[in-house]
Amino acid sequence: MTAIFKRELRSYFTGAVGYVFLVIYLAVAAVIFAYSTLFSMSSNVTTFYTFMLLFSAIALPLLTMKSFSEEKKSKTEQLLLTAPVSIIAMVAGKFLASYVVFAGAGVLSSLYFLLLIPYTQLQVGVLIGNALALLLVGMVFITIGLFVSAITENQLSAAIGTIAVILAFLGIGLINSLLPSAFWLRYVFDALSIFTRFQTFTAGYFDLASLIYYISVSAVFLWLTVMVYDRRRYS
Amino acid sequence: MKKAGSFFGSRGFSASALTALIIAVVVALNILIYTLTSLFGLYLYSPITHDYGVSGATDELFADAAQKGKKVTITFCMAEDDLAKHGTGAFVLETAKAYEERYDFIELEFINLLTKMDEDGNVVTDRLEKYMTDLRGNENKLYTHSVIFSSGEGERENYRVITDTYSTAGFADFYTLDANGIAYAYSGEEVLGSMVAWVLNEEHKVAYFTENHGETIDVTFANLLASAGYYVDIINLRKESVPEDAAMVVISNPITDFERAKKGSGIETEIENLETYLAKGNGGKGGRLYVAIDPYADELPILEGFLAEYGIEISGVDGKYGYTRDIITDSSDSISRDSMSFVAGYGSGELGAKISSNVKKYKEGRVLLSEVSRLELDEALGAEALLVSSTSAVATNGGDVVDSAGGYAVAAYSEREEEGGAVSGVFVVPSTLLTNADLLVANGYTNKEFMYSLFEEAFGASAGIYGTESVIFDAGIVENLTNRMAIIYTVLLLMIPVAIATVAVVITVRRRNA
Repeated sequence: MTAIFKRELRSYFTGAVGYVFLVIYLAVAAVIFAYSTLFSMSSNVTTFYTFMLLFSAIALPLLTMKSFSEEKKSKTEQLLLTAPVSIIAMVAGKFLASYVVFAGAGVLSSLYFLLLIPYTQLQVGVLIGNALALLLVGMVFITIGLFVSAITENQLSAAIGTIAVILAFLGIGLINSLLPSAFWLRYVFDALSIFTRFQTFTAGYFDLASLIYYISVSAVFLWLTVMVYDRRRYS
Repeated sequence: MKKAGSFFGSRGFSASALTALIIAVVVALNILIYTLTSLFGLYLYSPITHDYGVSGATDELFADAAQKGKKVTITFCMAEDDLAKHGTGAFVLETAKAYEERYDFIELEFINLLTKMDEDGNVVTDRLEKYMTDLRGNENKLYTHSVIFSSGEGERENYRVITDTYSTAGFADFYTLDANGIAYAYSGEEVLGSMVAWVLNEEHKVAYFTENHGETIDVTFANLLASAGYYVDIINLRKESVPEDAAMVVISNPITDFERAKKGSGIETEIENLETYLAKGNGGKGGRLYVAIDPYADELPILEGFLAEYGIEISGVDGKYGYTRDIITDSSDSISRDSMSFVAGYGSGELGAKISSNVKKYKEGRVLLSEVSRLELDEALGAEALLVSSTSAVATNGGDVVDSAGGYAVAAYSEREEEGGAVSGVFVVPSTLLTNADLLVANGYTNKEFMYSLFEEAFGASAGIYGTESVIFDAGIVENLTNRMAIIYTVLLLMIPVAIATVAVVITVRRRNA
């Protein structure tokens, strides 16, 4: 797994993808930070992280779209499938590489709030909660991206498919506004909504249930990706 | 070779079933855990904690009281246990206890307003009846959320009652409320400390607010005056002359003009009453006038003509839409997008330097002003700028820039020698927001300290409580971050992705050339 992880991580920075992702992510984060805090005279971290969540829904698919579909396109998939490494290790290695790139950008953008220390009383607990929430949500988005990339051959299809699935998860909570208030399905949708879970962290609560949710959903998509490649290896 | 089965069926039905089972278990588990945490509140939460104690800012002020053996009693009109559970009173109790612990001459007392008994079971009816009238004979309201400060005994007892009559929660005088009536900041250390200082003083000055010209008596400003040792009262200059006990007359945001009689007519109207007070008030030492004028108000030719005699004029023009005053904007030193809220520096004259020096002993920072006009000063008549905009400020009128020299006087003070050796003084600020509640509690600006120092140095008041910090509940407020700094920070942050892009290009080029 380590070899796959290192290879994937290196590939992000031997090509342009890693640099492009970092540049765009950090530039957008700087602009959102400027407008949500510096020019608004506010140190409200929630606004910044909510926008970054929505931006990540579009940016992360661009990071993950080449993960597996590129292998198929460049016919290097066979090398992977016949390599003496388990499918799980392969998927985990690719996941970790993507996640490290995203987490690096996420942590760096969170450090922007240090600029506000001379001007306000930063609520560190809320800041850490929001940053953690974004990293967890990013983890889910990446695993979705890996899965969709695994089932498509085309990078563009992978990106669009990933965005569609992510928006579906984000939109689950919005359906509640169309349902009667006492309807039990609202409760189920709330429980499964990425956005509802995100809001608990942004309020400064460390929600174990949401942590389990994000980890379990990520695990499910990683498992699905493993199953896809397991089928390919033996077919 | 095995045929590829269904999507998840590479090894038959079992893989698909296992996958479906896993997904079902994960969904069910998440719904279950979500339910449990919602029902039983299974969250880890770090509540924001604030310090409601005392900072020691009053140590110097109270050193004398302790040495002279004085005693001050802070009396709450509810039981201590009830107060500790009271939503807004609990913090006041915490601060009061901190004062009691820090200073031996302060003690706390708790009485039951319904039974009219103290904690020891003594009847306090007589004392309560006394407290229902203030030292000037005006009625005091006493409720369970009243706080009574007293020092001395019998006829020499000095006392003051704080009773919030405008909020439902009580103790509102210790808080700053926003437009929706929600507590925005807590200033208990300052309010308690200034009331202790108030009852320790033998002499209490009176500030009279004028009426009949649409004036607004700003509660925040009135509380600030109380903290600086003043009583606050109202006067109708059309009907009466300024009383002898007036230490200050305040004209607060008039919208209609004052009256002035023709010279030589012998009639005494409003301006004449003011002139008499300024020339002979304050026991013959000379009166003091505080004037705040809304820059958006119509021209007030008589009042402004009177101020011009002290060398202070508010700049403005007669334009297409009538008279409009210049409005100062400062895009660099502004903290708001419309550039109308900006930080001003202190004047460099004698009084400005004194005020600046007083403030800096306790706090760094500048005064924040919003929606303010500019003043034209005649130094020959004794006018001195106390607050000055930065050089990047411009003067606008009707949306057009009329002057870009910057460095405008936005608050000024003028003294004049009167007959008999008295010296009268007039302070003018062409804004209604210098003493805005939000600015007075802001820890990053020195509006409150400026006002206290102004009262002390120019108006002869006792010192207010400098250096206390308010507890701002909305910790999301950013103070002192000007537009200029916001732009600099934004550019710096954008340099990071630019740097990464540059590194990427360099590495790529080198790799190609290698």
